[in-house]
Amino acid sequence: MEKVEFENQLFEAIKKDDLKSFNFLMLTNADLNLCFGRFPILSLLYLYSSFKILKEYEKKLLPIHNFKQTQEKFEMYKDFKQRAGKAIRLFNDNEIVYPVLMLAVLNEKTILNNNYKFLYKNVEIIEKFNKIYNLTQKSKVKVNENNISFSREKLKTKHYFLLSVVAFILALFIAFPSVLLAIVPKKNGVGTEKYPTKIATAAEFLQVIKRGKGNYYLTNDIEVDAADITSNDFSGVIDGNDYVIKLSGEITSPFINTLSGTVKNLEIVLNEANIKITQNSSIISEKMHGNVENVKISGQINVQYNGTDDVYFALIASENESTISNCITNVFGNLVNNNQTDAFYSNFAGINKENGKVTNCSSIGGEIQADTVDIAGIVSENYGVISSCENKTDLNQTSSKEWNPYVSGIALKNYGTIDDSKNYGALSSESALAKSSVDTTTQEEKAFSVLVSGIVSENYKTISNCENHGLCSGKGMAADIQVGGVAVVNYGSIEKTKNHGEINASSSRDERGKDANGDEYLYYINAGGVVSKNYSNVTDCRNYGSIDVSGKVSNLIIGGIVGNNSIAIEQGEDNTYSVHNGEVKTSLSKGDIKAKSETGQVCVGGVAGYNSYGYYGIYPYYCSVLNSGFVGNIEANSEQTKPENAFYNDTLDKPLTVIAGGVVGINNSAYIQNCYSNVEFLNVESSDEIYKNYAGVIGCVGIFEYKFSGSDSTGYNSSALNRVVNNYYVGNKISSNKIASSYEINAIYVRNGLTSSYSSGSVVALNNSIIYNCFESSDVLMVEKNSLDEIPAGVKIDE
Amino acid sequence: MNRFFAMLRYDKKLLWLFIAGIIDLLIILGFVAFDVIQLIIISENSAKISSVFVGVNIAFIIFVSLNLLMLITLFVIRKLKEKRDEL
Repeated sequence: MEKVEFENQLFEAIKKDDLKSFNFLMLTNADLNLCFGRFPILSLLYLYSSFKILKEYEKKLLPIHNFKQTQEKFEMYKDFKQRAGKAIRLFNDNEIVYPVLMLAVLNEKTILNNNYKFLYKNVEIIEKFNKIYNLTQKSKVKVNENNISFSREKLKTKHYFLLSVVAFILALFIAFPSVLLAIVPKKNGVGTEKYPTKIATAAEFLQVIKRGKGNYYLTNDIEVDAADITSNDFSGVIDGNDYVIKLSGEITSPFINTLSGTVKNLEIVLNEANIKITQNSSIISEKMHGNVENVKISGQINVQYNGTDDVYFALIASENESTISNCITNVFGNLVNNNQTDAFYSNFAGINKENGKVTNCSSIGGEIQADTVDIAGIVSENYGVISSCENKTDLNQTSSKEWNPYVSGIALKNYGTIDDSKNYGALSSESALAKSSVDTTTQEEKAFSVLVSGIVSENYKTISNCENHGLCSGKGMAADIQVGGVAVVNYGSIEKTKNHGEINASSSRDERGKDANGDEYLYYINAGGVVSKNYSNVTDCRNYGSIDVSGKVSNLIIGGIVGNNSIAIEQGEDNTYSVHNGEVKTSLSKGDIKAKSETGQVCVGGVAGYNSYGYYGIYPYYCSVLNSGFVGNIEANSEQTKPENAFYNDTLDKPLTVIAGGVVGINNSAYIQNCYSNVEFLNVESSDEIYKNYAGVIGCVGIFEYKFSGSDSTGYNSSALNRVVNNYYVGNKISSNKIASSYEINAIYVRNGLTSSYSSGSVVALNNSIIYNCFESSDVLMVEKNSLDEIPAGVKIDE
Repeated sequence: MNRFFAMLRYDKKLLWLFIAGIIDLLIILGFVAFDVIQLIIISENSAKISSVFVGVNIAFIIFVSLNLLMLITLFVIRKLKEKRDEL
């Protein structure tokens, strides 16, 4: 290759940074010390930014200080002049532009500092180096032992502009997420209390349940297939925002296992939901430690109980340890218990525990039909507080199994407080069992009971300011029937509570039961306008509902306020015993009473059907009816022809078939004080006139025990004493056989029963004890003035 | 472009600076892409917007703020050195 051609190709390779060509040329003629006029190869490589070649050859070229001159090309000068600017004047025509000077001209500080720390000690070069920088960059350069230091160039306008642009772009990138964070949480939420997350679809709702925490609210009505639900604990907040969740399919578990957060403002519509449960369950939560507020549940459900142990199902929570408030239900349901373990249904909570509160909740309609499932309008078992609740769901239970069917308007059992709550639903409980089986141990027919009550079936603590407006109907065959307008059994306190609902009870069985000895016995129907069986306090209560009871082979004990006012001995957990004695105070019944038994006895009292005493050890305990009254009609009749199993007056040795009193039917050594009645007896009939006894205050006063056929137990006990003081009959309908009619007599002892085999009277029909200060008055107007809604405490009647 | 990459290969420091810049830019673009996707989901009313969204955006703000802070710091240092050189 010719020299000129070689130099041209070499220059072209340098200009184009063509490493391959450069390599080739170096292999052909390795003249690395070649210098094109003033420009060594390395200087040209810097000038033309030939970094590929530099990377390979820089280290080889750096040590070269002696150059082999060749022809300079004009293009080189032209390009150098353009880059050098003012510095061109520092370079004479013959003066070599050393690489370090070229870098100074090009202001390549990085390369200078990397490669030229120790190379140049030449004073002239250093001087020129400084001049170049002074001239081109207006900065000073100091060549040290280890490096070259440059004084900083002042930033130019374009640098500030660039800096500003970059800073602005970065600021935009900061603003972008900031704006998102400011806007998005408000729009969609982020799960915090301030910015709850939206739920718009069923999938999102199920995801929320699965997530178990956070704050959410619904933005749409959604439809959830129950099969997709995976129950989980939930500690956050779900605000339904008044939207609807439609739930359909087969439900085997609630939305939430344990709720420790809040569910509120939600409507759940049950669309023919089939619920199959083997353990406690509900629609919303199984166990509740949080709150449910303003939730409405409506629709149709079919519930099958398949548990092997007690199973509680409620629409809101099966166990509540916190607060359910302002909730509404309107559910139509069919309940079936496939086993014979205890099964319970209630609209709001299964078990309302000690810390549980159910307040301002209402079931506004609906109807529950249950087969062998005990049902209540609000709660199954209450250990906490139920206040200001209403039930308007009709509750009906029928069972053909050996089962005690319970139905109550508010709660089945109350161990806590129920206040200011009302039942408007019609309640019906029926045992369709024709005949119960015989106990293999005792050889006795198993005993079952039908229980229905407006508020509570069994009360162990406090009921106050409640009302029942619904029909209470109990039906049965091989079972006792107990119906109370407020409670069936009361071991606690019932205060200021009213019953407006009708009380119906009927037994259709026409065959007597058999005890262990094979002796026949009669079933009982107990009914009370307020309480069926009372073992504790009933105070300031009212009954405005009529009572209609009929039975074939049943004995009937019926009272306008309480059916049976009696004594109970309760064994505590620590084996201590406590005595409960029934006490009815300042209560009034205005409902008519109708009682009919075909072959049983009938005992009716305007206030209490049966008022008795009992013993615990050697100590007698007396029940009492105080400051109470009755205004209304009483019908009582029995067609019994054979006075077996009658209430016996042992002293009189006389069976009594129909006993009716304006205040108390039978007073068995108990207290009646300051009571009154304005009763009209209609159709008081017995198959035999000798067996009927009715009076304005007490049907029969004496010391009694039930004397069953074949039993010869005596009821007489000299320590028991009737205390019948200051009672009044203020009507004018009973005209015959006035027995005690003068208040001036403080102590009269009447034993007319000895000489009269049947009787009717203004105050006492049949007396076997001492009566103090009892009155008969025909001043009906005073009744109107003093009675009705006023309690006749120490009734004063003008002479 | 070819010459640019050649320069990067020649100067390792520049290469690392370039890589760091690219990663920095990719991260920022990643954040932006995440937010765009989330905004599409938000427009469909999803409940998936959660603390992840907040966390990512806070990280986004912190990351870009660090970039800006670094830029400002370099600028300040540069200015201080200028002052020192003038003295």
